[in-house]
Amino acid sequence: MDMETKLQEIDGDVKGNRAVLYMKGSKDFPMCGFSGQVVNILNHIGADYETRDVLQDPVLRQAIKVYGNWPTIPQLYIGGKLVGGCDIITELFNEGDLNELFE
Amino acid sequence: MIEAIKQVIETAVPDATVYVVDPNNDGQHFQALVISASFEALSLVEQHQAVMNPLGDAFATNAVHALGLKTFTPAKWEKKKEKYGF
Repeated sequence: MDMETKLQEIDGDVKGNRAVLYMKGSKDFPMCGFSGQVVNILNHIGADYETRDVLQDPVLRQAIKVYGNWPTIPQLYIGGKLVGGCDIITELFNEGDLNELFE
Repeated sequence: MIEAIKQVIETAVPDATVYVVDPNNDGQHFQALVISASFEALSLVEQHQAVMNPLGDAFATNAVHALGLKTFTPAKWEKKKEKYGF
């Protein structure tokens, strides 16, 4: 699959689901500390979210950086918009601002 | 490496005050604190994009991947800086 098609697929995915986390690994087996930290935070607040494992799809792994205009993984999307990576999710959680994004 | 990261950020956000530290002293996991009045007009993710994308262009992905970033407007910095030892 080429980049263009993958970008459209991502667009449909983030707009078709309430919350999507593009990560390395899965909820049960995060394969990177930063992805694992975001999964722990989202599970802690009882968020309802989908995950996509970029390690299973090299085109996705690059396309999501283009789509999100963000150079790293993980990336969390809510309501079709990029919320951020590990730093921002952690900061929003520490400031108590994360829950409201899931309402 | 710390100087290189600092320069890329200062070029990307010209009016910013930038602190880059190596908290674990391992030469790999860096922490950057960036304070700029221009952030007032940006959401948190936009502030991070203004810093992360130029870094993403300048450095290999794994270097950027391990960078911890905190962005502040001057007002937010005044409230938070003690926490960072300033």
